[in-house]
Amino acid sequence: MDYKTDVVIVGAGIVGSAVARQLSRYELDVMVVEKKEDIGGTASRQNQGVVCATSVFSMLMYEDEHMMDPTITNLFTISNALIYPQWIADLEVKYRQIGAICVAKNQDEMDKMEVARKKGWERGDYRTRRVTKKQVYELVPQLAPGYIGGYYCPDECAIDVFDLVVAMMQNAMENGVKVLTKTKALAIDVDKETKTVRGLKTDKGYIEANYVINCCAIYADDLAKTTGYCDYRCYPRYGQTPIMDKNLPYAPTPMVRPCPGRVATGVAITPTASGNLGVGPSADNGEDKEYTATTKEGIEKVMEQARKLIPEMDLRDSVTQFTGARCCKDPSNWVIEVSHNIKGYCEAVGITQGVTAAPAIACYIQNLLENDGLQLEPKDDFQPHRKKIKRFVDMTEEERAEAIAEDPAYGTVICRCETVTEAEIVRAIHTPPYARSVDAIKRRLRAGMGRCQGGFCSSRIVEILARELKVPVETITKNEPGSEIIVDTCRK
Amino acid sequence: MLEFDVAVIGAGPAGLAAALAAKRSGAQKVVLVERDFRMGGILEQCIHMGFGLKYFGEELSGPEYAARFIKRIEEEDITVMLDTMVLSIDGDMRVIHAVNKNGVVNIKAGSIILSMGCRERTRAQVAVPGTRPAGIFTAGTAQRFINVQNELVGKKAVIVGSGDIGMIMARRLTLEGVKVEGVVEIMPYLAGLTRNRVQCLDDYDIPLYLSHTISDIRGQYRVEGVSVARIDENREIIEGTEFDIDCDTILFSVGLIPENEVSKSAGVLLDPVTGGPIVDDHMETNISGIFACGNVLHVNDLVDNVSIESEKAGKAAALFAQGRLHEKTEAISLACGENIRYVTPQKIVRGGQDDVTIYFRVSSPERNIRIQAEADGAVLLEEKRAFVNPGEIEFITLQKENLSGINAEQLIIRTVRE
Repeated sequence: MDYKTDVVIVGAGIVGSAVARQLSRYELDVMVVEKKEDIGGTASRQNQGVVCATSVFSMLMYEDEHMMDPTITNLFTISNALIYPQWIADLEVKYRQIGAICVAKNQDEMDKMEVARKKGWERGDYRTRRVTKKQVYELVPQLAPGYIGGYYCPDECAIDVFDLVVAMMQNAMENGVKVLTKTKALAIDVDKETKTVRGLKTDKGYIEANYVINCCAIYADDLAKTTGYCDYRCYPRYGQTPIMDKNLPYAPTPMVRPCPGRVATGVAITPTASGNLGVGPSADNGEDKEYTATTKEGIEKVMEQARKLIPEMDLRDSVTQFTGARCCKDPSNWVIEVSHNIKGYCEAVGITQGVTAAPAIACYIQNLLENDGLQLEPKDDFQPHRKKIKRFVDMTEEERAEAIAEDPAYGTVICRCETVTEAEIVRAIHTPPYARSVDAIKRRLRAGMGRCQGGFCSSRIVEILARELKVPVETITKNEPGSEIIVDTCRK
Repeated sequence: MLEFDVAVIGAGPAGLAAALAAKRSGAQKVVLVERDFRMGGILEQCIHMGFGLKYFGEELSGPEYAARFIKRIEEEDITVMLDTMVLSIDGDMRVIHAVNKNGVVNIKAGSIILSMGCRERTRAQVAVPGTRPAGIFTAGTAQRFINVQNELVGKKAVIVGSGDIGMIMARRLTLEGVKVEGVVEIMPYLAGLTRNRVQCLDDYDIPLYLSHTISDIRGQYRVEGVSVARIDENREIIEGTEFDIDCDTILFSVGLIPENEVSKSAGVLLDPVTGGPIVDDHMETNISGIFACGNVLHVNDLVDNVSIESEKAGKAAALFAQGRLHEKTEAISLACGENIRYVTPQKIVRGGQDDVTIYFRVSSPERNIRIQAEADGAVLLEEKRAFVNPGEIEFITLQKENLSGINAEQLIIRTVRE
């Protein structure tokens, strides 16, 4: 099947979803192409969910040249202070201010961080401040002994990233954006003569378009090459991450991390929006973009480093462990621009802190496109509020009674660890962006993310999906095609 | 607000026995709250034989064992609320907050019995490395898929952990035509009952790999295989012992954890070793009028013991609701001595009128030992055992005459080598 649209966004991770939402404000035909069975991306699913107020501060510690580019550093501060609060309010995404502290073992680390703080100030980070040893231990009483001080920023926020991406895309779809999942972008079709984008070739058909926006993260180089111009390489930086249970006695209030090193921020202990703790990630560069395995040594190393911060950290309290792949780029600078070579091609690549910067990147891209000549007429009827699925767990007893009276399925709890009801699962299946797999349900509602890891609810969710989609239970997948859960019926 | 004398949470074997005993001990209004669509709990998916030898004197399947209790429950005037999930308990007021399709259900109870059973430990809790594809199940979840939902979970399986459910599922999968490539156990000994090894593994030629671990899981979308390796006494992989098994399914049977999220909401104190509430010999928790029994208290290996223990809780809860449970006076604490991992109950109320059975597990396997109960420096009771194993629950019964003479704060249970 072939399509015709004004703008096609390739990749439905956090950046692609944010761009889709931002462009849905205007009188434009916008399509999103995603190769996976669900939106939500790869790296966007595999991180600790922090809107990082200390991005400028900590990334300055890497001594990466690109961080000297004020355009990029401004995106962080603008995103945090100006854009996020409104987006979060409009989209009703779970968001919690936690604060962040970097702790120093010695004066050398304090001195390095003071240099970063001063540079950060010039780039709009006005809130990160030095704290004394006494203040460090007041902020984090669980901290191991021996730290001499640190730098603290109260603005660091934990956010439910899964819900944020779904919320942005849902809102984009409610405002007319069309999303094609299970659709792989093969090549950007460029008129060789005029060096102008004509459209996008996909494995599901041709999409005629004036603009193609490359939001493919780790696969961005593969797509960029199809235009004939690509002067960078994308590669994964694996991060192994144990997630800990809720309500642990040793859980810190702020995010706690060591003095950032030269290549990465180091293993942090991060309270998440849902009340769990994220530990890590490790940082190992690799080549295989599909690799997501954890290793015994990797997880143990992360825990060992975490215990240097909080000695009580215990892997036995972990509810899951995963490996995420951050999308790194060589050279490492972020590129957010409309192409000078190909008219109609735009890209956002090398984005290593998508959760923090995505809404700002979306606004920035909108501005780039407008400057490039794209007509952006605001929609009369743009609806900034998504129709959020009412969450049983957040309701008062009166609201619960009301919800059950309206829909009795709100009275059937399917996931007991996270208290998710059948009504919410049915709605996630029938609300854009439509959930089609057990993992898609999990990311939208947290069903199966608790301490029993789906032991109780997964068999029930498989049956609900099959019933609602009117398909045989054997076709229900964990995520991608090939991840079917049931192979057959036992007794015919 | 509904009002009952005794409210029982969970209609598995513990809840069924407790509700029945409460009713028969004089509680007028008894309610049994169950989250599933029927009574019986996990017994309903345990379609194998092996239940009831001790309690009924004959061998039954899980559903048959449950059916006997369900029939008795139905004959009595006991209110049963199915498809109803308890969300929290107000411990001081003894009010249960629950929901079902009809709305919010609040129950004010004279006494409450916690009988929610347990949940399975997961792959994450034993931190097995590798990818995270489809085809990884806890043994109980696979059991539900197959026995309740009639859905087959794979074609070639490896089972991690030699717990009872894992071994029973090894046999069950084999009977369904699934090739079971082996059971991998990290400990040097079996985690479950010896009879299950004989009947479920040996009889079907399923290999058991003791002192082995899964060092990797492969497969991007569906499980493609595992790596297995022998480990030393420090649980470190012995180099050169690694081998691969191709499979599309992995079942984890790596232990059970008492399900006490609701108990915590009531302020019930838990024993860090059992994971269940700390109770006295009436099965009463630290919160007055809240009792606990079955796997919510500690993980049992025989359902028959659960029924017996739960009847005690049911009777005590009924007496409490009627104001007839004798005043809480001082209690003797039970302590774990040599090679004892845990004991339950953890306390015995002084001046009791009954014999007290103490359930416990040992920390490591031992042969030819004596089990001792000691207080005031004197041995009150001593029993011989030819073999003890952490996988099997042990118990001793202290006579009320023995208990009445104790002045000490503590009663110690221990093993002594012959």
